[in-house]
Amino acid sequence: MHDDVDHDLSNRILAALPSREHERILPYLGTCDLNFGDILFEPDDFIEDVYFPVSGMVSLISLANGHSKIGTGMIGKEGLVGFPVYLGMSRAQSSAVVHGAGKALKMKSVDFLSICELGGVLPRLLNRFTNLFITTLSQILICTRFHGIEMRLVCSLLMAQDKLGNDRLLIAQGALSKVLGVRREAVTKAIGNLQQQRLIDYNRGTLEIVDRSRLEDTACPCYSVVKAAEKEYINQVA
Amino acid sequence: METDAYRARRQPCSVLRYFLNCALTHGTHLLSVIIFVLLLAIPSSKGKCVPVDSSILLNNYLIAALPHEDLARLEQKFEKVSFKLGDVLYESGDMMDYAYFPTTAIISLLYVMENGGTAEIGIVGNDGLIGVALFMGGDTTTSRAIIQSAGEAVRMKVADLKAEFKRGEGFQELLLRYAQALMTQISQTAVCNRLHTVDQQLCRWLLLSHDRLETDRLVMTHDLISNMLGVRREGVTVAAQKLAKRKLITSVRGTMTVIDRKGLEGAVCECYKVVNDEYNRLLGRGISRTFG
Repeated sequence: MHDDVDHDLSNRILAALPSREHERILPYLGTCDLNFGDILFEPDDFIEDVYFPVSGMVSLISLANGHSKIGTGMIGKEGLVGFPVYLGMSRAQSSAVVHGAGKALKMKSVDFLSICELGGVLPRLLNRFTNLFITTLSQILICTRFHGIEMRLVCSLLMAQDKLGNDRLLIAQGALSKVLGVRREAVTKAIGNLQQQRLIDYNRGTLEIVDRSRLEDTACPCYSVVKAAEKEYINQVA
Repeated sequence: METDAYRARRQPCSVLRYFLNCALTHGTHLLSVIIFVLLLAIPSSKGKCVPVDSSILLNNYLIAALPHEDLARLEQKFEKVSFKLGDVLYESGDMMDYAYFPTTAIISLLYVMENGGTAEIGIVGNDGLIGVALFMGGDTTTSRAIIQSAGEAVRMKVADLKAEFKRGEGFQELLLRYAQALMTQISQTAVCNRLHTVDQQLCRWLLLSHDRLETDRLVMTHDLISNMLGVRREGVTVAAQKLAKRKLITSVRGTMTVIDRKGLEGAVCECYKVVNDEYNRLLGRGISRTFG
């Protein structure tokens, strides 16, 4: 447990809390591992716990027709998985899948809500995070609409790398096909293309970003919009 | 009942009529009735500077869902505005001065790309408001808000909106829930864009618009629809022709008319219902003409 004190400051929201609020929330938080592929909740599940990632990354995947899938967001240490609870939504609308192993601090949604009700800085941070999420979501929407699979893949990889702070992404093609909402073969092809250009290296579920700056050049403008929004958010909460 | 009493309090005429009726039928207590009416008239004469009639406010479901105390406090902060088709409320990146609550107008939130391409992320009618970013800590909009169907809205100054939001309680809770509903709409639109045909998307768009209109006629060119759906105009025209052929709509020179609502519901993807369920949950009442 003594690790927690170091950990919780890695999460932007927790780190931005004034000490009084920090002390208030700390007793409710417990550490948990985010293992690759863990499902934190599925659509229609009651969101029983909320997670403040301190490392790793969680993808939100929406369903359509009961099976087709598409990623509608990625949450890392800048945010909170399960924030719809704060907005008055007790059931999940998407599934939350760990796509980057790490750790999180989790707490019961009921406790979280009662702490939110006490006011203070926490609700303001959550508002800002929601705002960031809506901006990113809108950008994902437009990216999906207008950009080809390869550009979108690059965009997702860069976003994932920013969240994980690691060149090596452990991610299966199947997971990527869910995030991008395209067939697996299309992902394989796009990865092949990027590999040929020596931008990335992919080997048995491990994707390594070889040339980040050139990869950024190939990304669609959506990436820079999301990045700028994230930067603004981080300045706001700092 | 509560709502009726509430409305009556704000509409001195109907109160007057009610008491006159009482007086005529019962013939007694006329004096006390007159005194009562005069007492009511004093605060309501102040009401003359209220820029908006409260009955108009209640046309926006979000405002109507506010607790009475909140509404009573807020009603003087609203003013009425009307819009023509195609009016732009905000460009993306604009500083916002007002938050808008449509009463009859429908507003489309368009996300604009660097190269000018646009796609609709959400439709806001009398079920919502324009300005979620404001109470979420941003000062600028991230999308363009454009009038998709002419009509009216009431608006509130940003400072007033923020002050009310900070008070907490009913207004804050409602706005947060609206942010969630809007988020659901955006996610579902993303899903729909990716996975469903233009025909299905057009159906979804028509149904969501139809729910927010009082008529069956949508004054709307294929060009505008194509900007909203983010597909080529030809794609919209072909989809509209298909729906017309199935006798679900008619589409003539910039006007689409819903003629078979049930049929449209049969043709739409589940995205429509997902969004609709979320708004029902938010408002505790149906927006959809069908699902209620």
